[in-house]
Amino acid sequence: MLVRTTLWMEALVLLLVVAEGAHAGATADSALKKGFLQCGVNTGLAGFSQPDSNGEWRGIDVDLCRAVAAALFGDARKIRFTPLTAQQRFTALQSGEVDILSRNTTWTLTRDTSLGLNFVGINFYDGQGFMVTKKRNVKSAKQLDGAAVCVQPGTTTELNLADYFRANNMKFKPVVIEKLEEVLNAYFAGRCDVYTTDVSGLVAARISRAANPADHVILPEVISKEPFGPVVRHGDDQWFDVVRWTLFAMIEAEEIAASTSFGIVADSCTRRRYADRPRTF
Amino acid sequence: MPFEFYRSVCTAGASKVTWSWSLPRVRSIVYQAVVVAAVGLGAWYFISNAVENLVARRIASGFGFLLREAGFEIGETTFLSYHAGDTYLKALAVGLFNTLRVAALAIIFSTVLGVSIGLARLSLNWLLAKLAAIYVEVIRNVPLVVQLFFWYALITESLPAPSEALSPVTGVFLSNRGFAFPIFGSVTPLALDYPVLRGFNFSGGGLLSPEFAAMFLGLTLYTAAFIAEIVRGGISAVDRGQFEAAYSLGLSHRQVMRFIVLPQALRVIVPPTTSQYLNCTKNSSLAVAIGYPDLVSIVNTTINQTGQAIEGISIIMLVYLTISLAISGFMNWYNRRFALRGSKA
Repeated sequence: MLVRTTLWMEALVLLLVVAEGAHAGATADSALKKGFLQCGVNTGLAGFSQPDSNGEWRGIDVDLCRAVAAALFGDARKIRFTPLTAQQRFTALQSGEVDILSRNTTWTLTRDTSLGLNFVGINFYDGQGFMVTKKRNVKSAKQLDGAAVCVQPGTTTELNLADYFRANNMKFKPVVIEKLEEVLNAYFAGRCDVYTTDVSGLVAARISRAANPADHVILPEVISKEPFGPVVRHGDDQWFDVVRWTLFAMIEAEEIAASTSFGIVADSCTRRRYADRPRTF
Repeated sequence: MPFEFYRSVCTAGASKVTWSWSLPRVRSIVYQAVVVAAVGLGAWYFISNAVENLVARRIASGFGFLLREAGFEIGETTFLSYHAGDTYLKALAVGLFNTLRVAALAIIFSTVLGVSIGLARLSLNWLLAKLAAIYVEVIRNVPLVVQLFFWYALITESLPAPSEALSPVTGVFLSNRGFAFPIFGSVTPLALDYPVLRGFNFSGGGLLSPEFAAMFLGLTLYTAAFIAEIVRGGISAVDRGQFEAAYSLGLSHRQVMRFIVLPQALRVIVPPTTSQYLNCTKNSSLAVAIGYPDLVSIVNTTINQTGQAIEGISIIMLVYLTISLAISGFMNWYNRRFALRGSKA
């Protein structure tokens, strides 16, 4: 039932696209003409966008792109992925190299206004944290004065890090490396004392890269709000609508899945529950 | 009045054939005007297209962002003191000084090393010549960025943590945070400021970071391999007769090299070496791969935070163009010195 409901919602979105065919937006047009959706994702962040051992991309950001492809073509496989680093992602979207950026990108004022981009919505609420090795015996981020901190450039992480240390009168030495694999190498080799990124990224790094995950501790302080969402270019309202309502359809579908999987019997009781839901379409 | 009369007669006669297509001068003027117009049209098209797209996407433009607060920290600064509250312009200046520092040191040391290896390859000692040949062939044929990763991994993985730092001499510490050494005090001049392990890292004293060390090693060894080949080629280009005549005069090998061969070889060596110096400067932009905060790395971050890619890239282009023109200007002056001396002799 979940799949049927999801497809039904996608079909509705598709209807929106077709109905507006009179002035079709440039991005939807070019994607339909190409025959596939070009989606910008992370180079390899577990849980968000990472190729598995068969080379298939998996993750929440990848799923969103597949849903948009399903909305456009009725086939979630008509999609190509472009792995982008934090420094390349906005230029790739601005220049038209990708149709949509689904890459755990934080929604900020500067990005929404002066970069010529539009954030469509939020698919993950996160915050920035710090990870250190357990043998340092550090219990709080306020004990990190003088530390060498590994961070990726061109991210809100870099700015928040500087602001947090300034606000708490602490000093630090940044070790700024662009590629995710290299920055993790530097942290796990001991080049820096602390690794900072969004807490989801810390957890992903600890699970996928640490020789012994129990040796690393994520400190309790979450120093910023990092709401992630898909991004599109300014000036294409129709494409914005397509992506936004695909995101909403996925959220609705997930709510329904959650309510059915939590042991509520699928009978007239459930159907009544569903009928009671406020109409969003 | 007679002069004007003659002039008008001359020009009156000539004006009948001034603009004929059969004249080569006329054709060349027309062709050149067409090419200039085409290039100008092309440039106007690209610029107006870019401006139109920037406006349509509502992307900010202009260089005003340089005076805004940068907001990010930089790992190492050369001579300047910088903190996150400074402007983007100051951050770019820090990046520029970092680039100049690593490029200048790499140029100097790679020249010394390159000349030595070039001479070693021409040596009569078989082992020395073969080792030099192996060095040149291996280093030249591996991409520079791979070599940088190699040196960086070697330094960070093989050196111990600060708490177990190697200390061959008191006050000098070697760890995976870099090479800490005492310097003449920034706080108390004339007294040595020793690095002390405090908390996470060493404070006080001077520090050569692993990023700088890896950049410096990689650039120096790579450029030295190319310079070695240029030196070898330059010396081989000197006529064999010069060597024989010099030896027959009773000069030692060192004297032959210094007074006869190298001055002539330098005329052949200096122009390609200029290219290698320019390559070395531009190769320093690979620093972004290993975390050394050079100009390109900082401009990349700035582009990402402000979204102004065109202004950022044009700053990089302008700076590298200026540095490269300065280097080649100096080398051309140096080359002229040898050319003059040679022709006078």
